Amino acid sequence: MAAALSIASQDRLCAWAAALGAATILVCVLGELAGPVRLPAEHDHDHGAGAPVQYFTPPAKPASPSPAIAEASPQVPTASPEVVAATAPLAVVPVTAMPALVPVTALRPVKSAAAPRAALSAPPSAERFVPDMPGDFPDPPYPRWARQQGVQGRLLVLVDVAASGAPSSVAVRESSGHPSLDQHAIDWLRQQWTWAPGAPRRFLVPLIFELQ
Amino acid sequence: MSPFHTAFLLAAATLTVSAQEPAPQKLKPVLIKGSAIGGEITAVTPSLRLSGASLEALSVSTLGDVLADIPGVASSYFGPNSGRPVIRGLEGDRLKIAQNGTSSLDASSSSPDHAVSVDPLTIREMQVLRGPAALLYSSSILGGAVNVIDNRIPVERLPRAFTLFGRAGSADGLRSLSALAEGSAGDFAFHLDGFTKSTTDLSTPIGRIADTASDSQGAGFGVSRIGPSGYVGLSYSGLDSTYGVTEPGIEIGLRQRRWDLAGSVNSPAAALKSVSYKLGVSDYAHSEFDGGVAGSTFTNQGWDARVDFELTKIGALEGVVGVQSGRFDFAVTGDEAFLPNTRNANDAFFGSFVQPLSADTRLRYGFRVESAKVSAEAWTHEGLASNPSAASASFTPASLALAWVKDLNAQWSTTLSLTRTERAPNFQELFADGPHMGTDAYEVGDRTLGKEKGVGLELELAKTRGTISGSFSVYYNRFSSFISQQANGFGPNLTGVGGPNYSSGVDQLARYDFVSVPADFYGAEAKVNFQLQDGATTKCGLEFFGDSVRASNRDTSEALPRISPGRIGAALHGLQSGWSWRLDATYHLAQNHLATDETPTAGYTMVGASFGHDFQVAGAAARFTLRLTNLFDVEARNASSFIKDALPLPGRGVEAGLKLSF
Repeated sequence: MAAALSIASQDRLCAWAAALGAATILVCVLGELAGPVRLPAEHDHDHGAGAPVQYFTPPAKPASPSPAIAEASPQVPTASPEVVAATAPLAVVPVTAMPALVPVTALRPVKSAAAPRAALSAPPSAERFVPDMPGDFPDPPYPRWARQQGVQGRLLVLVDVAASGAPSSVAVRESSGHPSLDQHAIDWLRQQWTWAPGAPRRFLVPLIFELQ
Repeated sequence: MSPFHTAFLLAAATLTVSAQEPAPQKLKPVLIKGSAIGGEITAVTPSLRLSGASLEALSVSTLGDVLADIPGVASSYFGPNSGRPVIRGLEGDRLKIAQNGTSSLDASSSSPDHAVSVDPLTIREMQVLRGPAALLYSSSILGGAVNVIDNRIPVERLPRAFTLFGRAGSADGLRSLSALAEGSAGDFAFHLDGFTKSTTDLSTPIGRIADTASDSQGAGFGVSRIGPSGYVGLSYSGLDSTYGVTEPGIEIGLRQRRWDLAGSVNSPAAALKSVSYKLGVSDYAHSEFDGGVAGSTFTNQGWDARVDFELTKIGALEGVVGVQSGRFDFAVTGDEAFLPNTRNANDAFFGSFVQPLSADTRLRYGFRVESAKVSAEAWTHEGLASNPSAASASFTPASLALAWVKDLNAQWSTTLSLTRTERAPNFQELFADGPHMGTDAYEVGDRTLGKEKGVGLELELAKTRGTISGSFSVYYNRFSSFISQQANGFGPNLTGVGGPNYSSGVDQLARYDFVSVPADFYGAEAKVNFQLQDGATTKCGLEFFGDSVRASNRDTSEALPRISPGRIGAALHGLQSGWSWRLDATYHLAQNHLATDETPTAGYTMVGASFGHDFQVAGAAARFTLRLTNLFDVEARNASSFIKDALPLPGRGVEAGLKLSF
């Protein structure tokens, strides 16, 4: 910067070109040095320069789904009373039937609900949800309030599907730590998801709300 | 897990399985990506989005100041109470400021001393849109478009929230308190906000500047009904503000009342993902009081409406098309009647699309076609220089934007954008004829003006991931016709005007004519962040940023007025023991590329610091912020300000804020 200052009086345009050029080269070189590519190319590049760096401090109740869920052990549901009241009775849920079906890697514990780089640890399976079964499963939107307040989280939802294909009960099995985010997710699944008619079924749906 | 525990689990498993309950099948995770910056790849994604803590950490004095730290953005700074953003040297009607997607319907684009009728305290989110996405809001997008969102109409069920936010500052004597309450009951969600803010005369390194104090109050209420297929909501808001504009004895009293209706329907038809609609109806007035007597009154009454159709994916193509329609009546009465009464009509049809071409390449493109009509009533006043008869002018501007985005690898991407914009001249450029105190000029419009036309080329290189991130862009915007104000001797002799500009024996003001000139804008912006430390609770980073823009009249090679000189800055920021902090220093170059009669500004360095801390107090979440500005109390002039000779930037100051969320 000192160099730029002294040159400034003589030819600012040249100084500018040089400074910006140097910055670009620096970005390029250091970018290459920064190491291997860490992420799948599933992200947007269309944002420009400028947003001041802002650290999201962890929320009061960080979401930390217990690893036990991923290991399919019985777990007292951690959903808030509000959510529980709004959904199906959880007592009958046979959580123990999960071992054969749940891959251990399917839902990793979140270190911090608000860590902006949570994406780095997202498992490869965390891609756009395309179920291999007939039905209609639109993605829920990211709530505007949650986006604005920097709220992120992961939750696990248990859906009972009636013979008609409509969800007969939708319950939070593992809270995101934000009752309102949980409520948003279960409301959406209950209202928007439909399966093909058939025998009554039940599904565990992990949802990951993640800010970039 | 203890062996006993495991045994218990196994036993429980056996028991439950024997109960013949169906086993749940685990599905793949559903990943819902939101974005604090940037965003999911859609046709409407803003290039920059500020909200929450990022927004709260910034200045609250004017909309221009909020964005002024972003590379490429300056503030028009007409005192501490009035300032619009200037992006890449483009301002006024060239830079649309939308409020929740519709027009803000104020008088801010007609004069730099007229405040934008959106107080930063009520903003919950601010979006800067560039390229094809900006065509949703404006046809003049070479600088982009700005959309401010106040959340007054809830679009979803809201968690119960009650927030109090108080701020106090020393340089401008800021005292502000804002409150926000939100919640849901059944299918209904409501929002209530209010604020009061006062500032004293601004303290600068050359002393306090008289007649810069302000006093503002605003409130808004909104309620929505939210169902499985969408929402519909209504809001009412008001803003009252009185503020000085550095001229002795002159004070502006501003009042706006506004109704808004908004709604959205999900999947109304197979081809549509959603349809959303918005209508804003506004009644705006501001009076310029001279020693307590209303001198001139500006009124703007109008409405603006839009419908956006979000299309279902056609193959990989995503898009939004829509229509926007607005009418407003703008009138000026009193001493400063430099405009006839006008009726302004604008109808637009627009679309914005994203088409992936391959796994790592996509094309974004958009269009906007408008029909604009300005009708002026017959009028006359002393010294009128132009034709006083009624007249109208119609235009059909058409704008196109194309952006080719290529991911070089998972971290790097490049964007090449080509934009063609057309803008219809506004009522002021067409019909102004009279003394305008805000610009201290006798302004004369030209009713034969044609459309403003420009093409722009931009190349951006961005690294969005990794320890080192940043972006670099260069652009060239070439206007074949740019509507500029050009000095043309002096206006007519005026008597009985009585304003402060005439009292010192000056009865002739410099005359400025609106003329169409060919103009070139070129510049570069860069920003790079080195994340030195990136733990969960401890972070540290070093950031460098800079921008530069040059604008000139291609015929005469003379610079265009009020262009920000380049700047270069560095910032060190971090998070430690629950405290976030930032230290920054920015060197603003001198501006010696000047228009006729423009005064140069010297270079200066601004040093500042800010701190933030989250904690719990009596069951409430609290956030404390502290900002130190202009630490070395340097005298600085903002080259993009109309009144840079009279008013330096604020001197050394401290601003503290406390936000409590219950």
